Amino acid sequence: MRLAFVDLLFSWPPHGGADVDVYHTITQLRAAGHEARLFGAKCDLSWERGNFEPGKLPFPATRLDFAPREINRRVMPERFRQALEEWQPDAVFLCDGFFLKPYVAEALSGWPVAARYYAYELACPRDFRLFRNGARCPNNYLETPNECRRCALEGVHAEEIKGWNFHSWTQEFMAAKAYSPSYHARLLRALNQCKTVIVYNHIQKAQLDPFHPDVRVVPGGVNTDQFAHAPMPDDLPGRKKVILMTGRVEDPTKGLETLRGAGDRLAATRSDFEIHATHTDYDLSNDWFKAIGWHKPEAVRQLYPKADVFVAASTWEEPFGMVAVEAMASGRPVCATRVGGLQEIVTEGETGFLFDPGNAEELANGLARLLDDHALRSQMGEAARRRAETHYDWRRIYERHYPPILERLSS
Amino acid sequence: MRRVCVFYSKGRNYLDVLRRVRAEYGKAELTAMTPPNYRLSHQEVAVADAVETTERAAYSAKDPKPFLRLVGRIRNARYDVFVITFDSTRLRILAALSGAKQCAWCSLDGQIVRIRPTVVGALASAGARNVGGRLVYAWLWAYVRLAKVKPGGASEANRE
Repeated sequence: MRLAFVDLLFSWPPHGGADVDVYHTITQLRAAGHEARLFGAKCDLSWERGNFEPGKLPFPATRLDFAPREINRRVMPERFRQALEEWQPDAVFLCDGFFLKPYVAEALSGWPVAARYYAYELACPRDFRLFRNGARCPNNYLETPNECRRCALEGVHAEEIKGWNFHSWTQEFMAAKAYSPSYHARLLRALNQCKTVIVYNHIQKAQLDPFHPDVRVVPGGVNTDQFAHAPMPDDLPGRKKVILMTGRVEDPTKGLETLRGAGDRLAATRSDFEIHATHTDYDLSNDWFKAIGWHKPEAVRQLYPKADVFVAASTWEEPFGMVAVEAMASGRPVCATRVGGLQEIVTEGETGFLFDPGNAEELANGLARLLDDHALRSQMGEAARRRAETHYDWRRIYERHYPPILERLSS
Repeated sequence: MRRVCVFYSKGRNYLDVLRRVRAEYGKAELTAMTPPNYRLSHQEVAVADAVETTERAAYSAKDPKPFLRLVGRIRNARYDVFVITFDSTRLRILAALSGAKQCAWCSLDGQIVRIRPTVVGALASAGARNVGGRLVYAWLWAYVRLAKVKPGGASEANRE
């Protein structure tokens, strides 16, 4: 099939999991013999939008350049429509984007469209996180639009509007008139026009099931070949076992404070461990906590084999949890919170332990069990690697999920 | 030899910025000015000729003395070029006060863009944006309260 991937935010090197997902999905579809091309948007004043060079990608790509004033509900959808009109795809994957996505979906309704949602952007126009006052928000914009419109305006968008200085999220909020009552109807209509909707986890699916007949959960993945499946380091006398946390750990919702709380509890009774976190504030370091600074993705891959245990402590409903899968691909057990996609990635008691968000005590207990038992760490690490290979390798993801999606798009 | 100062701000890949500035200014003496809690990587140290550590990581209008000391220190160093990593009001004011002959910002796509900041200009621009933005916000605040999504309102979008 001839497949167009339309992405309003794509950048490479990636800014996040959505970019990685698009990159590998296109790569796998091409490896399976399909013709696939990326159509991305670039806007000079936005670091989030379109920082990629089409010629440097390993697949065909078209970058549509927009002036800031052209990021609106008329020009942007029309430019994408024209670009696809020239290329004539058989089907379209509508990938990452914010509030302008429904307008683009409508403009592309002449083709069968699969809409991909990477976070809770349909449910939460505030900040796509569905997380407020330290807990999961019970609202869903699709069901409670008036509450969510107020919350969105008074939340993250307020300061940017007052200062008239926008990031892409607020830029699209304003451009799409996402504050208006009609936006809700447009969103539902655009959703209905899509042949299929793809999400990361079952929380997203449950939110969308009442509004679309074909919502599919497709996880993100890794190239397991790129991750060294190294044996668990030996418990040599004097060696400190490494508990690792990678990713944007400065973000408070990633739960570093929970891990530090668990570290405090462990440090009260033992000194055979160190927590390493990719934090850039080196002043946080102490006897058992080391801020190791920001690492490029290829450098992060070298960190996992040196670790004994990995922790993903997100307090919000993390839609997926790529870092947990990376650690599993390196054969490391993972302690993760019972949230969003993380609880679907880690098999409790088999590839690691789950704990409630913010519960440092429960995390400390899980870590203590793993630190005390080399055999358990090795066994869970092996199981984690197998699970990464069977469930989260890009090739397996393609084989398992994409043939039925393509069949639906071509039906 | 020209002396160039690259003022660190959180949120950018500082190594990439230093490399871009080095490419732009060639053999100039390049000073990396970083906050006390920022540890430069070996690669960053290799690109810069000198490292200056500021007194604080963040400055506040409520306690202007540290900011004034920072300005004094930058002015005393007599840089030829002062480079900022974001085009924000605060950094424009700092650049305007730096006393450098030339100011620039390293744009998000890696271009070194010359700027001619003035304190009055930066404040006026921010003030105008704030007034306009607050008016728009007030209108939206009322709008989201008065104009409600009605149940089964799919026809609303069709009327647009």
